[in-house]
Amino acid sequence: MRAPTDSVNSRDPALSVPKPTPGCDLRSLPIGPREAFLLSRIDGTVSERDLALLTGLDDDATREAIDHLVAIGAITLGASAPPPRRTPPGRVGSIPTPTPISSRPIREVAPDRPVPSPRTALYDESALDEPCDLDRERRRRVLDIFHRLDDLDHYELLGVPPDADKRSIKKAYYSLAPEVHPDRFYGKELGSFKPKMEAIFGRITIAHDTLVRTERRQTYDELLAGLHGERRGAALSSSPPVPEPAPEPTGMFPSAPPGAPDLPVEPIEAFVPAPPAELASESEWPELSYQATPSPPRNVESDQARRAALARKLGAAARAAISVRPHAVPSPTPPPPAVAPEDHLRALKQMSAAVRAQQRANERRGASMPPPSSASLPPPASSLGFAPTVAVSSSAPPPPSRVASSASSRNTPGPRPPAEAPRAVAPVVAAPIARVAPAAPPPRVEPATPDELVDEADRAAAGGDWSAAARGYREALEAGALADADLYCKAARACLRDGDDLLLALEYAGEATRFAPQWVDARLVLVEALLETGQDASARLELDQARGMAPRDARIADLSRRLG
Amino acid sequence: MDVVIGIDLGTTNSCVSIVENGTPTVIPNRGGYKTTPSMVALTEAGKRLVGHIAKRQAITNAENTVFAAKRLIGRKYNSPQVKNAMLSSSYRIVEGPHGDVRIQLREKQYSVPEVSAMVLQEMKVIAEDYLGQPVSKAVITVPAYFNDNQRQATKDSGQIAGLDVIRIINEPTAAALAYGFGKNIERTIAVYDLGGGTFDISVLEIASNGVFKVIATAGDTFLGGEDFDARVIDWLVSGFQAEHGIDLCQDRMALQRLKDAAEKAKCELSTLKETEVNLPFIISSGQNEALHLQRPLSRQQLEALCEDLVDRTVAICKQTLADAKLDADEIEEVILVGGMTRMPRVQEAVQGFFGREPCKGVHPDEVVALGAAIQGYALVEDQKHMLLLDVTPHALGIMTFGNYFEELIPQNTTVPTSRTKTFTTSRDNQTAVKIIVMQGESEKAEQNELLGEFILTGLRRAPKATVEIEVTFEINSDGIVAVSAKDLETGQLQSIQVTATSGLTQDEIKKMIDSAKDFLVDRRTNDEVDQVQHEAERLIGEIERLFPAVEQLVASSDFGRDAIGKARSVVEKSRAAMEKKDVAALKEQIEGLTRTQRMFKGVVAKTQ
Repeated sequence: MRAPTDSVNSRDPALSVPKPTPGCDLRSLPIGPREAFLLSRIDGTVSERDLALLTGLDDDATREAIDHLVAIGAITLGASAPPPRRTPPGRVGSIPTPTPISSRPIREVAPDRPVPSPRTALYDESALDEPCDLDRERRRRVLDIFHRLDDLDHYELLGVPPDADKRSIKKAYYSLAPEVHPDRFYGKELGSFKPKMEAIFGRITIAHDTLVRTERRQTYDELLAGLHGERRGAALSSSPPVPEPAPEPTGMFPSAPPGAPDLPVEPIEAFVPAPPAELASESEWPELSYQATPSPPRNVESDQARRAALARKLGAAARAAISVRPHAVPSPTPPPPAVAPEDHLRALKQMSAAVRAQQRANERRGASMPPPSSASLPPPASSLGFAPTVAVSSSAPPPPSRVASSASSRNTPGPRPPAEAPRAVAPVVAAPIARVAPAAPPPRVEPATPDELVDEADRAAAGGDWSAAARGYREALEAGALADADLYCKAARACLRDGDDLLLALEYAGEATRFAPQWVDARLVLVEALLETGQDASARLELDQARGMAPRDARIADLSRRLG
Repeated sequence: MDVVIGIDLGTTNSCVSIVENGTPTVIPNRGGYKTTPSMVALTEAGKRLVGHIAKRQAITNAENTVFAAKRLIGRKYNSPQVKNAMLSSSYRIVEGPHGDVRIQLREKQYSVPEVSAMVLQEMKVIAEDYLGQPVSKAVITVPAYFNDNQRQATKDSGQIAGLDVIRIINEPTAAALAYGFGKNIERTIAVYDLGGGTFDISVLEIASNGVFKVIATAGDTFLGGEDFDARVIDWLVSGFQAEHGIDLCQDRMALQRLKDAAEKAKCELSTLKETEVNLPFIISSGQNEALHLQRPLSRQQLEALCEDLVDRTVAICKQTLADAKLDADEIEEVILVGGMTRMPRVQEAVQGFFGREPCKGVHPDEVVALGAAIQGYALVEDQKHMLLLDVTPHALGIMTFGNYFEELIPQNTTVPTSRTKTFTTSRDNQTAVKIIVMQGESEKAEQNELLGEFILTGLRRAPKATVEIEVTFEINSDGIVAVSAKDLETGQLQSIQVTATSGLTQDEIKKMIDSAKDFLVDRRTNDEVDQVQHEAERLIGEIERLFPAVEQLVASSDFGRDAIGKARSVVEKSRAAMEKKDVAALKEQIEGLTRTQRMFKGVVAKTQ
């Protein structure tokens, strides 16, 4: 019964990847609990060796079970190995040794072969399961490229050597464009892949438009050359052993399009080994070799740092900072496990800014503020380009100001902390702007507690002294009063009645609706504030919302009369 | 597979076509003509007429016959273009409830999309008669230089006509598709499209695998055959005025006859050297005496009358090639589209500019509709062989502090695309920003077209320029523009999908700008000069706003007069420094400005 072939017997567990047989009815097969357990972990991307580690079974037992599953047809074995996977965070001791992958020809990834997984867990595999009309391989291709967009320079993205001529750049672009342009899939359900494809298309277009214009390309090449140096630096500074650089660049696509001259290529990714790129046969669309480039083992830190550096450089290169991302619609889905490079960059930036602000604050205030514990604080700003490990944990930490203020400001509920608290550690976010934050306001001589201030303001409001009430609420809020929808709403109303600072009224009303989006009173105050400041269009919009909440509220009719 | 018709909704004529068995074909109307006049009329009996039949009765029913509605689509009543159109139209253009344009036909007022829908419906019926089956999907073409509002209004027209408009594409692009369809060529081409109402020029690259990429496009939405006609009409009218002392423009019926005669003469002069405009009994004089209009017109005269119009098109061509970073000799083929390109002078000008004879292989009146059908076919067919990569004809951006327009997506950017820029708050403790989305090329915000607006609230109270707001513009492959603003600190996000309105006039935009000026974001810049300049502008603005009130309050006292005098001089000095771009001097003035502004605010606040 069990008759594994020789090739199966002699396989390397690190390279062999079991893959579930599509359409196989597992219930009808003779499977024991061990096989079933193993089967539950087989997803077509995990190697046999990793499966052993995942399941805790020993190597022989794993091999035996896999042989059995192959024999009964439940799975097939990938004839080729996927690239060694980066160790998922938190799993220690399963680091696969970087395996030689130089023998992997690109053409290996024919559609009927097991699809190699992306080298790093750049995205959640479950993203592939989204119902849409694209076949799985294309989905994987889209995700693979999409999640590496910030990694690839223009040449790598188009799959052309750095000295490619205009003609071959154009050729590469024109053969890639139809692969990712949603119009080619018109009428098909693309789901979340559509914005991703659009993002990829946007990037290859930018790459093309940059590289076909002589002067733009020159500028870009200079930037890239600078970055190249930094990459080397990044490679050297990273601790894990780095394999020898290979002479060819890696890319999503064949390193030269069919027909393009096969030129020697400068190593771009100096710290990343790359396979010799064997070209796809001329008749093939580049799509076949899309994801074919074996993924090099990467080390997390330098990779992240490189992304950050690249993003920064490219951002500076283009007149506008360009970022490609899925449709910016607020979505309830959790963020992908990997840190988006720009978030990562931003987190670093904010942290370093916070450190500077902290230092400045300490200078100003002497030793009144204890320095935050080193564990919660990032290293100084100079490490921005090559972030040390602590700064690249898998999820970007909230800006320290938030942490500090939410800790120090008692039970303030809203996202906006009371004014006094953040000032102490105010992060100067716009770091590049050479502007010193104004000194904190002079301390009040007799500080009243925020609650007292609120009470006082309430009394003033009840007595019709709107000016005093407005002032009172403002002071209360600035002194750190428990900010909630009610207080903001009262403050907004007082400011409105007072009429002195309508903008403040608008701000407070906005806050109130943010705290309690479904509270019609807050919404109506916002409408009034918008009306008073002449924002008729927005007022109308908000009023419609209010009408949705309380259709028969008399105040709504009144306000819509005022709106005309 | 769905049938998708392609409609060229022209200013003067429309055309419908379809891809049949892989071959694009123009569908003739019931009269056997391949194009149908874009004219709509309402008879006395309340019957609606469209096309040739409407054109034939236009003279006797001039007030209730609409032509060139395309010139009005997506525009506001108060816009100069509409005012201009009113001068030469024989039908009544009135103001709608939201400042939009309405057309009065007998007792009823129609919106422009409604009128265009009547033409589209006629095209739909022509296609259905020919195919013997109902048609629901269409690709409609618009001039490349149409803005979002005009595109949206055209799409609305389709919807009113019962068509699912699966795509709006640009006319010159459509022409290029028809030219390159199935040819398997690799070429850089220019499409020169001078139609009835609009002029467009597009430069495209055609790749051998059927990808058409627009490199650059530009145009003028108020330059076309109608303007050539208007020159002839003016010439006839002024001649008649000189001879008889009667202004023919005052008589709607005479005007309509003049229009027809001018157009006819213009067309004849494309083949003849000379023609005669002959309009007997054009009007009666005061003494019940019928007057006739009879004047010869030579081709040379016509060319002299229209010389500047032709020059304008050449200037736009020049600019477009510069935008595309191409020389005229890099263009491998020039395609002429639109009836006006039959004029020998136009052909000469194009040939002179590009240095090559224009392509003779396409039919200037039908090629656009054919291209539209091809695009429709390419979208719905299963084996997709063709891909069109078009560009945004206008820059998209937001308004920033100081009424500047900050571009996010530049002109001629291939879509789909997305761009992001970071902005900061423009004043201290600003907790809300207003994102005003605009389209256009001018640096001055009010000279651009408004597309939409929204507010992002809940920003941290902080000194100005320290809170960062990231604004992202996205245009997806269906041409839908989405704009979002994100507070980089809290991650709070606001976004809108821009659904074009029918546009605002400059005055309205100015008003809106004024009311929003406290909410605007500012350009993030490291440039100190800009910073100081902005600061000074802001302070001066504030001071000037308070000036009248303060003057009224304190002018009675000596102290007050003195303070006002000082304030004036500070403002003047700052202005002078700003003009000279003298940063050092301006910096010195900032303190004075700040003090003045604070004092003014105090005075006003105290007395309220």
